Amino acid sequence: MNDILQVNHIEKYYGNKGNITKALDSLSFSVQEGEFIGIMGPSGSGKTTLLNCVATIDKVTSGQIIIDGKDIVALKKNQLSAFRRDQLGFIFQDFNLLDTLTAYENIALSLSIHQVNPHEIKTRIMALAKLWDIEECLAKYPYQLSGGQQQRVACARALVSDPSLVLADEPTGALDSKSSRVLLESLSAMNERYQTTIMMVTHDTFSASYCQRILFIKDGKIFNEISKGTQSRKAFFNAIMDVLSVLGGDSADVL
Amino acid sequence: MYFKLALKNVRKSYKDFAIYFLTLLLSVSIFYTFNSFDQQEVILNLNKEQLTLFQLISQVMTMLSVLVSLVCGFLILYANNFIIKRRKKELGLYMMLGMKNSRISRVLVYETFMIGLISLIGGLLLGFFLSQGITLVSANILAVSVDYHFVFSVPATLLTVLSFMLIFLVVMIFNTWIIGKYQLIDLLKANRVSEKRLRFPRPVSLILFAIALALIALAYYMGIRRGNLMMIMLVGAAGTFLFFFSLSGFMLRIFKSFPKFYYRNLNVFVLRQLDAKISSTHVTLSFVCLMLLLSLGALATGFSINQYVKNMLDPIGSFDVTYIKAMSTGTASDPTGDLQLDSKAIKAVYALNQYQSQHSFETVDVSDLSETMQSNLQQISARQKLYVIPLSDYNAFLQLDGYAPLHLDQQQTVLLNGNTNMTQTYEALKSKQITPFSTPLTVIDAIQPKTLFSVYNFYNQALIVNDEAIPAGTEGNQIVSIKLAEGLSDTVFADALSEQLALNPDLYPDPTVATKTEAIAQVSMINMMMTYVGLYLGSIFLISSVVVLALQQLSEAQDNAERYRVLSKIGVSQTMINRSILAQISVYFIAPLILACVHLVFGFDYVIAMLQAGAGLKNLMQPAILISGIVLAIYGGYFIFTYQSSKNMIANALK
Repeated sequence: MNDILQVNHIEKYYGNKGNITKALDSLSFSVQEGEFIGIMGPSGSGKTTLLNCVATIDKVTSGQIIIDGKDIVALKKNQLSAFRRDQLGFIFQDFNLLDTLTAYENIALSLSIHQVNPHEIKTRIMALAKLWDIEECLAKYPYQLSGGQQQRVACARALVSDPSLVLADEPTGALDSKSSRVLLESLSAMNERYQTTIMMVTHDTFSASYCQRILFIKDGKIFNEISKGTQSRKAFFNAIMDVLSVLGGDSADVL
Repeated sequence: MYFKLALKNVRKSYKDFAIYFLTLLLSVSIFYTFNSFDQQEVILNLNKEQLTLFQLISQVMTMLSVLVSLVCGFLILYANNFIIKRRKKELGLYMMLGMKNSRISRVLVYETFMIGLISLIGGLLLGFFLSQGITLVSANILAVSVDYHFVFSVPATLLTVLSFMLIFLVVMIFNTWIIGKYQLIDLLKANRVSEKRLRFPRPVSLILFAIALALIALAYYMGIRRGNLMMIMLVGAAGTFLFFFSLSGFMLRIFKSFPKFYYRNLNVFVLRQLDAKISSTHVTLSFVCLMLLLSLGALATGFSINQYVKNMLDPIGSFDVTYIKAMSTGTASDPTGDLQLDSKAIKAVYALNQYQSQHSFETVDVSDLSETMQSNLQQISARQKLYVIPLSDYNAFLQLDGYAPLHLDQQQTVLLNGNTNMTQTYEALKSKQITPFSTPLTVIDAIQPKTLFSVYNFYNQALIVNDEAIPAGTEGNQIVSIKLAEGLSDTVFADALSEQLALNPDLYPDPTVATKTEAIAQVSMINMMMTYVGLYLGSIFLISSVVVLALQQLSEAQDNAERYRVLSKIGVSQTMINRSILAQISVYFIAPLILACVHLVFGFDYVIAMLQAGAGLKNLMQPAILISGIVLAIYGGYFIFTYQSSKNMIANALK
């Protein structure tokens, strides 16, 4: 399979001379088409910076990020927004639905900026709404929906334009456990059925256990990487816990 | 230290304060300009009559300034409130750091003081230049020469400083009060709350909009039929209010039925934003629309009166002086017989005899007339006596100006009407019977006077009857008008004449002598006063309305930044975002202006009729261009400013 995302030795520095923070330190990895990859790490490890760089919202100091064969680091500002529009889908922790638009219109917006005709918009939204079980939410406004429903609408918005890569930033961060489960099951079903490539940043072990592969980041570097392979979700969950307990600092750090 | 903090705040948030500054600057300068008429007196070469009237204008302006300073006060308070709201988090931080409320208030007081000081000085400077321009306008209207030099009006400066100091004092008190009211948690969590609002199903929103249009149309219709002003205003205001209440729902429904348009680019977002904005601010929009109407109306009236009065000046000129002589005996005597006048100075003497009727309109059967007309007639019967003019006198004056004489039968009369506001009512009296004395007469016509009977225009109403129809011994008076020999000063002649008249109060109860110079001065002064009142009120109301619109837009920029961030993340380009901002601000600014303009087109006719200026209005192009220029400058300026600020705010938020 092809690599949909290739990250080569990216570095991201904050601050100025004499006081430099390395948020990302020569980080490299790749994501294959159809993969559901998780990024984990403690606060300040650089995982959100990584996501923002891949999302073309932030710029790296050096290195390459290649998405679907295109080096996004070299793109100009105008090209970047077009690239985001055409290639990427976003799911945010706080849903980020537009509060003045109905659920239907929120989803439709990401197609209407692609100049898709209204008939096609309707067919695609209806198909997705069925998958995400939000058919009865479509005519409602975000404030009339529960958190779980809002996030499912947001997922539908991210997926409706058939992006080559979906980026999810703590998608369950604002949801209760039941809604989280529903959402993650749907995400992984989408991934299996339609080969949607998903990159999810989280520090919730339960969420991470739905991924196929997990990258652990610490101090801007890759600390560890584990794959689910054929093991059960429960076994994978425990494997993640083990890595986390080491990641959190070993006993030598505690005096 | 607090002063330093305040200074830094003002400097740092100058962008937030920019619209506040701009508004203050404009208000102060306009206030100064229209109070600085004493300065014009010095520059313009005015004659005695003009000077007296000029002082009158000065007084009127000062009185109007009370109203203007109230409007300015509210406007400044509104703008200040907007700034405080935007700074809630900053104020919350001060509180968190342990600063006492009184200290925070003190910082705000210093800030207000600084802003006030800067804008007062700047506004006075600007007003100083503006007032020079106004002086030139006065010179133009009065057609007098200018003895040009820069002068500075001390009373105007004092009045401006005093008024605005009072306003700033109120602002300071308000800020202190509001700081005391805030809870820390509210300040820190001053984020938006998604509003829930009433949404109507499709038919209801369509019906509401239709009702709004119907009400507005009704108001226009009542205006055309010259209905009761109060009722027209009420119906019109209700229609306007309902218009903005239902506009967004209606607009959304309409556009939704064109999915090709609705789901293109950001259209769905722009329309939804506008929908939310218009429906949450429909009250404000209605007020702004009516305020704009007031402003445009004031400007339009002011400038058109100018046109009207210029036309009115033409007929003046046949007579030089006019005075009134009583006829207690009931018989007309030689009008100048008892006076010692220099016969060389007098070219010709004309007298119009007018007699007091015994009865007025109460003798007319008006049961088939509308209620408004009936009450109009009643008011006139109660207020003033109906004068009766003998046909021979009337025809003499007609002949003087080369018109064909009027013929009347014994039982006939003609209603002479100088009051254009009553034209319709008097027209309705045609072929009815009126009994000014003992015999009933038929009104065969209601006409406007073709000629002048004195130096002044004829403004009232009178009956023209055959000479024999007036019973002997009826009381009345003579309006005596004199044409003077070439090159004589009517003012000097009038002064001498007036002294003589004062000696015989029985014959001359009112010894004032009206002169042509005076009439011209008065006419051009009315003209100038209307122009200035229009300009003054018009510009202040215009600024007030547009500032409210601008603040409404800017106050949402913070909330909107959040929405644009989402749009930017899902791949909407900066160009597209800017375009959507422009579209939103344009619609928001233009909607009330358009409605106000339509209102004005229909309402203007009514205003002109009320001011009895109907006949004189011929050329409306010039005032229209002038007004458009003023509106474009102020409205357009604030529009561009609002667009740029919103764009910058959002661009900064997206960085």
